[in-house]
Amino acid sequence: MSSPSLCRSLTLLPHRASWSLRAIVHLISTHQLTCEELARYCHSTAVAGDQVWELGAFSRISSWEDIAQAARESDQRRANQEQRSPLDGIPISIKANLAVADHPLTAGSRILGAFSNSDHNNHNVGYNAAVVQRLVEDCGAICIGITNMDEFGMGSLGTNTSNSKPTKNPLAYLTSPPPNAPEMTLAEIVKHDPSDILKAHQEQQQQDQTNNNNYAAGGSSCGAAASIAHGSSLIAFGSDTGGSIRLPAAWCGVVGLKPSYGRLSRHGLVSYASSLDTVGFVTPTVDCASMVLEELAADKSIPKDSTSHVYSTTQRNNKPQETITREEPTTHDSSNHPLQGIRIGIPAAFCVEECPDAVQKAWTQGANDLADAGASVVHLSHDIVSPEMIQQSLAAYYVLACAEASSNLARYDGFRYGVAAETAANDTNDDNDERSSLHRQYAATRTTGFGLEVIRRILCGTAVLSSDKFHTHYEGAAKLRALVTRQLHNALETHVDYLLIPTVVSPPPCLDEEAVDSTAMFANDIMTVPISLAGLAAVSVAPDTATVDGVVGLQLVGHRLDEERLLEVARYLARQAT
Amino acid sequence: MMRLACPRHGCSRRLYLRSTRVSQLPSLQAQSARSLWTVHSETGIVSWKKEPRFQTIIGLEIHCQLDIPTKLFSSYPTSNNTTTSTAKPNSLVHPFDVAVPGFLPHASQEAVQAAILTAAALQCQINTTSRFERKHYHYADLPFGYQVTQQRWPIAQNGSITIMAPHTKKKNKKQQQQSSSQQIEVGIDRIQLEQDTGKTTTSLTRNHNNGSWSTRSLVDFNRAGAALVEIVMNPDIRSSQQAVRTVETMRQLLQHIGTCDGKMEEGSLRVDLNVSIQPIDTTFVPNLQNRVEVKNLNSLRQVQQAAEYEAMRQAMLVTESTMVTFQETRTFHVKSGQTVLIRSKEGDEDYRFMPEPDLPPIVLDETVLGGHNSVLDYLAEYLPELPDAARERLAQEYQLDEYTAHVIAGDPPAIRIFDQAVVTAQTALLPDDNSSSSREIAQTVAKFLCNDLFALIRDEEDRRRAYEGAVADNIGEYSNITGPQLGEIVVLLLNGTISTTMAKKLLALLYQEELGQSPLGVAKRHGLQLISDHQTLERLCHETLEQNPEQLEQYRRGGKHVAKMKKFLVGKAMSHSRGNAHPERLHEALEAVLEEVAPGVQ
Repeated sequence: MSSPSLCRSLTLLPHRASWSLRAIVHLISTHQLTCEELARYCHSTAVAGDQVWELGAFSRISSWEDIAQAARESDQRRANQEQRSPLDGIPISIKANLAVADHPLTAGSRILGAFSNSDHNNHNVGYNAAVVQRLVEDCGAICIGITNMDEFGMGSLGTNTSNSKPTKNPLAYLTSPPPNAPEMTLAEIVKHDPSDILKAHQEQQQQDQTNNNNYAAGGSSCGAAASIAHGSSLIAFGSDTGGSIRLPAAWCGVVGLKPSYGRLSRHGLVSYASSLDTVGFVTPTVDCASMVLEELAADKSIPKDSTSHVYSTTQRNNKPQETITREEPTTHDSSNHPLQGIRIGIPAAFCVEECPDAVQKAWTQGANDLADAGASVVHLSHDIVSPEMIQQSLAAYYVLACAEASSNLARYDGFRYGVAAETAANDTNDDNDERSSLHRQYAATRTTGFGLEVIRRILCGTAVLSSDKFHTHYEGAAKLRALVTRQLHNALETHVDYLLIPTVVSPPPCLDEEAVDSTAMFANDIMTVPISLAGLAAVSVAPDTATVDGVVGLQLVGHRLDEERLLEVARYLARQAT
Repeated sequence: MMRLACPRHGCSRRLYLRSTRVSQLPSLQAQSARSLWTVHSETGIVSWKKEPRFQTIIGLEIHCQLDIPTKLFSSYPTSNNTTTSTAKPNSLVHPFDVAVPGFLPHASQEAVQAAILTAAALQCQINTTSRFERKHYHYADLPFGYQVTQQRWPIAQNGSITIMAPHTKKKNKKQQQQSSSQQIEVGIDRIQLEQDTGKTTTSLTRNHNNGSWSTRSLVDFNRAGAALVEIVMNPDIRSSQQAVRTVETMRQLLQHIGTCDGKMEEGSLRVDLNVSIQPIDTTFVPNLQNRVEVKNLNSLRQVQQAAEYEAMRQAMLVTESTMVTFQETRTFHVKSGQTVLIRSKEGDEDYRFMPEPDLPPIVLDETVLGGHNSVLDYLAEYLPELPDAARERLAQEYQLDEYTAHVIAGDPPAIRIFDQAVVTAQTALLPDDNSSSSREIAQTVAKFLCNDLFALIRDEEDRRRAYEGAVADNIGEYSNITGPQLGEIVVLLLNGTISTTMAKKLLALLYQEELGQSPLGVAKRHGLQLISDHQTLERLCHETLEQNPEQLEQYRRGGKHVAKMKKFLVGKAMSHSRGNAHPERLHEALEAVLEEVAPGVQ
């Protein structure tokens, strides 16, 4: 299954083309690998990445005892032919804003006890998010750890973490393999001893000391993408509000699926901007994403939130994009033209000035790949998707997201849960302070508990919701959102079946450079935000040979609730590497 | 008439320091003149030295906790539920209720349905699509930092409620005319579904180390997230008494349709009072555009006191200090009977309303309406006959007097019992007995229902309350007597089988001992049957005459004693029968016996 020539210089890390669910599941079901061996490999890789490289992918790694026990149970079930699903025993990671019963739920924020040394503040949350319940409890996957994130999902670089330690992009360590690298199969790699893995990481660290390897992993699901790129888990759950899965997936050279709004239940997700928040996941390949989606789609439990679509096959079949259904095989050999009859739209409006050549090149290459597979590529003019709308959607996004964030984060006052400021609220000598002691306590807790970016967005949201700005700002943004949504839906309903656009406007920035100002960072999201506003499904795919200074991703955008077919088409996009 | 209580000086000074600026304090003279202000509780006219100066204008906002099994957005029960009213603080709290991250709302269909019923009972226009919004403010008993409510798209709007004049049992014509002019129509601006907050209890605690005092607040979240409807009325009310009657009518109406238990003392129904005044003499135009809101009144008495105090306070303020009245929010202090400032307009919060993104709009479709296609279909099945309609029907169809019709119409189970009893009695009596008219039957049923049956239920309720502490919502609900049973008793009465006294005794027996039995059977078993047999009655009369020879002798003498003696002898014969003789038959029997014993007496 694995091609030895693809192994990186760090020979103990598999290349992501072989680091795939289907390959791993095959090895396990053919008894070439046990779940315990797999779990040990992932756990030691996670620990080594954390301790040696200081990747900062995880905010909390589960104890080996817990992981080992779960893995042995999986092995037992598999031995008894009682596995809960094909994913039984597969190591996964969970973003810090999704509830995992035996971990604290922090959303990467100090106000919820993130990075707190005191156990007093670290209560386990005691319930599972809907996707965690499905994958871990129903399907038997194993949670390796909780991944790092920009606080409350606010950030595009993975730098807004409350311990001020950004997540590093693992691609920086994964350089091309030396010609004399020993050839190893995937099973051989995984079966390595933890001490070997640690040693390999140390050697790599020493080798690379001269190189700058401090690149941004992207945000906010920085830890999720890093854990997949590094190889410490096979599925990483995250959340995407305006690009938080797609952007880090693109920069870490992996695959990130942002399902359409409401496709996966938000139960257990810490709300940032409720009308935009989606739960999604990062995987090494498109095929892995299909396998995960299949398991999630089989979940028949009633959603615990009110904005989930009750998903059924009838609903999917009634969707208007019946046009996607491939035409009857023509004289062509259909295996060479599997995408025959599918129209891929290239909206010129997304061709922004900021796009460097690397991005343009990747975009063209992606379109060619899909065309090679038989799809017809259609250029969408400015009449269909207007560039002004795309530019303005960024502003609309930040108004709406900040407004909803200021509301959703109003609950964090340190009284019922989380961390309260230590200052005694009553001792004020300021006679001009007209606030009640309760409000002083709120202010103290929220000032120390929230990071700067979060405070900035809360203040921005509070401003746009105030009675003198609501009609101009909030309502204006809502109108823009409706217009963007209409344009994109119209493009997908009448002109093409999918849209192909870049995920990012640049390769990952180096974190040692001068700090980028936060407004400039907003521009990073211009490719992803319009899709979020419209609630569409999108998958970001990156070439698996890219190096950290040149990696960009492409996102394929599809109809609401059409993730399965979206991934089918995206497979051909991923082929560009091979 | 209520005279403004003149509080002790220190006390009132403090109040005024808090409600107005020090420089604008009313003068001391004004203070002594304060007791000359009066307000009429029925007309709402504020007078100075008995001279009318201002008209009180009142608008109400009523918060009703919906009587449904769960909270508005979570599956936990509310504390006002009868089974959970004694729950410990913070024992009925779903993680959602205290805003634990990751838990999202799910709107209760029962709440939406109860809101629809409430809106229909208040003649509102019901919106098939309405939306939830977030109203932001920070307080310890508001876990999310916002309250989910409806602002721009409420579930219903533009309704009205008719408030009757006070009911007295007997009225002469003049009073009746007056009362219909006192009947008022209060407009309903809107009805909105919203979440309740938790409860904060503040107490003074003493620091044992340095003896200083500090306040300590505790929050109970049992109530947090309970489903409320807020009913916002137009300022159509003119006096404290009208305000009280409006609240009371609303309370009865909600109990009637079963959407709110109406227990003001437990906070299930809370009133916000908006009071302003308007000069009667239009040449005097002070700035009176601003209304004052008095929050959270928990009894009818508080509503009355707060309305009257506020009217007089504002009248005095604008007259004696030539000040404008501020738009402000006040609270009612029960002990002093005064209102106290909470916040003035300057400190008014910006609630930053925002559409609730976690909840889709409420669309009144088949799912929400429990399988019904339209709101009308739903109402046809679930909205009981409303008190006004029932009262009109009872008064017209059966010519019941206004008071009786009102009493029965206010209680849906009572209407049911009444209707069933009348049908039973009419079926049995009307075809072959023209002596009892339909009207007579209905009135007899009404009399027994309102006087005798209600008394029995109340007695039992008193005992139950003493035992369990529970209070009945609707009297008729607890009746041990069914409509057909009551109808049968009336049949027995009207067809001469039993007397009125017997009927009352029979009712009590059926209610307390012979539960579910047939009235006729019970009457027979307990000897409750009038003696109508002529021979038996004649024998009874003979015996009576033998026992009263002197009176018989007087009768025989004839002349002026005849009528008197006959009456005396009937009475004696009746008591000899222990009251069981059929009065008319007995009369006939006595006539016959007297004719036989002393023929020809005139």
